[in-house]
Amino acid sequence: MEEVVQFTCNHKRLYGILHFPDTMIKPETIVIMVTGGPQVRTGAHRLYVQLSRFLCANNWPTLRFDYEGMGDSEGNFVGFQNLEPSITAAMTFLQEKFRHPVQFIFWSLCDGATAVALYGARHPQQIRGMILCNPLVITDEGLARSTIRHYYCKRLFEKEFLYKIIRFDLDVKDTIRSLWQSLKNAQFFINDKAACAESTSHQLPAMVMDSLHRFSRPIRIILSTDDIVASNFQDELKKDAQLDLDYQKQKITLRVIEGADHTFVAPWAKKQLFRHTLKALSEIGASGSGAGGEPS
Amino acid sequence: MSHAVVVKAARKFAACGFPVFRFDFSGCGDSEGDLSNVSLTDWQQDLGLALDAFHQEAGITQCFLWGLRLGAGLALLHSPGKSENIAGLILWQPVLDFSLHIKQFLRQAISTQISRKNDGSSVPVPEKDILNSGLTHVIGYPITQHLFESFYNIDKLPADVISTKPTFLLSLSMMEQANFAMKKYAEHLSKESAPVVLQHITTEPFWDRYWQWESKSATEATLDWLKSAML
Repeated sequence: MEEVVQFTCNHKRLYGILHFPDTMIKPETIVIMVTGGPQVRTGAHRLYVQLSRFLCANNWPTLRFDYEGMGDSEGNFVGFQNLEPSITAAMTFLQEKFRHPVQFIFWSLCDGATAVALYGARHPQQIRGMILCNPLVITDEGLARSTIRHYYCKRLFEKEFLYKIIRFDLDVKDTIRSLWQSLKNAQFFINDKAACAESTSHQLPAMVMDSLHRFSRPIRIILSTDDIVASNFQDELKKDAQLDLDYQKQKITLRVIEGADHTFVAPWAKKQLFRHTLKALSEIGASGSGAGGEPS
Repeated sequence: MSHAVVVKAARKFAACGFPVFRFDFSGCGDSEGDLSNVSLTDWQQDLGLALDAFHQEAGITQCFLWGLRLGAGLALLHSPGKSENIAGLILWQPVLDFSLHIKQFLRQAISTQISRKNDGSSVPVPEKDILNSGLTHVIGYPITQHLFESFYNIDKLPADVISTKPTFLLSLSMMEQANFAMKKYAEHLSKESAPVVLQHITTEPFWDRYWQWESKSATEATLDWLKSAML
């Protein structure tokens, strides 16, 4: 069953779709999808629609919604840094709708995943776990480092790139210009005051890593290899020593989808994402059956 | 990408006394079905069913059909058959040549793949994919041979439609004036004494852009026309 739902956040009406298994009476756990970037509740190439229907068919009730200012929801665009009221409103609405304690697992992408990570550390009650796909923690410096590490270094080992050099077919000026800009942004030059300037965005990676550490329940991270946002996140993860114990205890696990891009455009990447999501949900798990609630 | 713009425009129209019913075609948005199982024929039927549902739910007997891009082309095609229920047409940058439109959409796949690969290696040609395997994917959307051919079956038909109802042709582009196809269509309607207003607004094509939430100029121009059409 798919139901259009409406709830209130900051005196504004938010809209979403609740996917509820026909055979379920009482949900114990509901998956809440938090969109990323400029996406509405359907997601890029209907990713969230298809994932919700897939999860629902596998007995996981799922809510996807437009946060404040997005899609059909009222208000102006607030950005991922201000998603807390929308997420709280979604959880409150579902608690009131089902009139019994329900727990939540968040599924999220890009800066939606960033918002969920930050939210979970501040409001862990009722959150059973989170699935974070390609979270955004990019700063100018971090982006430059990741670009050098994951793009330029990789290129040096690519046959086509080497042939271009050998055949003098490479736009050397353009390549050097791009690499130079990346190096400057990467703070390799300590006299570059602009790169050293403090900003909120500069603190984002540390805030997210700290949030992941403080959230005590399972976190499942899914990353694409063909995505600079994911590469940048992976770099930040590796730098953070306090997460080592979280990995050892398997509170945090990482799955990588080779060749997938940021929004899992390719059909095979989407299938793998769905499979990994289902597995992650089972691992986080809510009932003996591994699914989201009491069947009829 | 145009969702927010359309929502805000619809809210503005409703606030000014023009209720708006928005819907997703089969296999699109929140509606059921998958894009791999639909064609333009299905969408033309959807439009008819949507109008019937709106008439029944709201008790309204006459509607303006408001379409953006492909939706505008489909609205045009619908209008002759159901003209007694159609009060007028609002066509935002309508697609008048469906064959050209699907070709341009497929070309988008090639340019996206080229920019991703960046190594000069060849990328698959979507039309060949469709002919060989019956299916290709463009930015994550499945385009079947059936869907592809339905665009060619319609081809330039929208440009031949003569609607006797008031028509608002809104050109939205970064050019200084409407494109040749729209101007030609407006002239075609005028020659047949069909009531048409062609207006051009120089603006970003918001249906191709992220991070754009409204188009005040398009909304206000349409509202002005609606008010005059009701007089």
